[in-house]
Amino acid sequence: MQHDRVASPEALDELESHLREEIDRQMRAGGSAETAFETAVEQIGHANALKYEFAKAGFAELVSAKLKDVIFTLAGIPNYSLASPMNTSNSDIEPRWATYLKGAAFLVPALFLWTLAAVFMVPKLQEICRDAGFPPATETGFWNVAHSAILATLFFREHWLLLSGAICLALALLEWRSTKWPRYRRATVGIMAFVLNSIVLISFFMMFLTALVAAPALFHHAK
Amino acid sequence: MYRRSMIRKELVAASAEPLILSLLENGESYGYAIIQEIKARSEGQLQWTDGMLYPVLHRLERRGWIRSRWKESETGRKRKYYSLKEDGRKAHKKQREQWLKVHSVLKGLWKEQYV
Repeated sequence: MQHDRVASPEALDELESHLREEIDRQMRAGGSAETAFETAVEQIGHANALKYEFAKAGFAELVSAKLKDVIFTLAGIPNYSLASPMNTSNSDIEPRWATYLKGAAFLVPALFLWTLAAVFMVPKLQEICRDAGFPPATETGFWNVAHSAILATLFFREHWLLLSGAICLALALLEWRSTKWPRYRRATVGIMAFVLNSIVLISFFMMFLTALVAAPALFHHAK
Repeated sequence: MYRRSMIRKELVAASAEPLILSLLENGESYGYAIIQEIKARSEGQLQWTDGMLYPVLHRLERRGWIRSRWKESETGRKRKYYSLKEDGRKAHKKQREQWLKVHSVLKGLWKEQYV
């Protein structure tokens, strides 16, 4: 067994201790040393099968199995190979961590860009509008929409801590109290991520339009 | 002559973890003793290949469900003793509930059939 590297030295010590116990028991029951040894070795199992099982219990194998499980779960691919033969059912409810992790991953780019816009772009845009003499009386309709996008950005910038705290609290309450929540968790978090992404996209578009409209006016003003 | 049949290997494999955890719930034990106890309790119907127990024990240890320590027995032989950790106790409780559920469903069905 040692030559075939069936297991670690410690595991081999354990197997040896097991063999000795079994040989002792058989010899106490009246068996010869030789027969006792042969039977004990036979009972302990085939070296190749043991090698395979010990390899499965190794640290690297456990980590890689876990990693595979995480990747499959995130990708939404059913991973039947991990289920034991006695358990072929696969719950279609996505695990909690996967839902929140995906929700966060979809929100991170939008939130990053939005923060950048709120801190750097909006003040600059306000400055440009002021210099260009906005809002002109003729374009109030457009200006109202564009202005509200800027105001909304400013509002979120001021109260982001309060708002995100409220959302987290609501989610925590749902996780804690609601029994029906797990069923709707994925859909709700998905819709939230979609709506927030859309808001960021629309407000970016409005800022871009404002800049487009303000630029000619700025030139005109400069002349 | 009536002959007891062996429990099929799929069921043996599936029941290995709950059996080990249930045994360790009674206190620490070592591989050989665990095998002997299972053999005795199942009247020999639940046959493990002896060596196969150790990879399962090691896997449970890696998972953080059980811990092990080498100890010298009264005969002077070194044995590796395993005992349950808190996470293992929790896992055992969960597995126990599932097995009891399966048991109660089967029991209910058989009761209906033989009344």
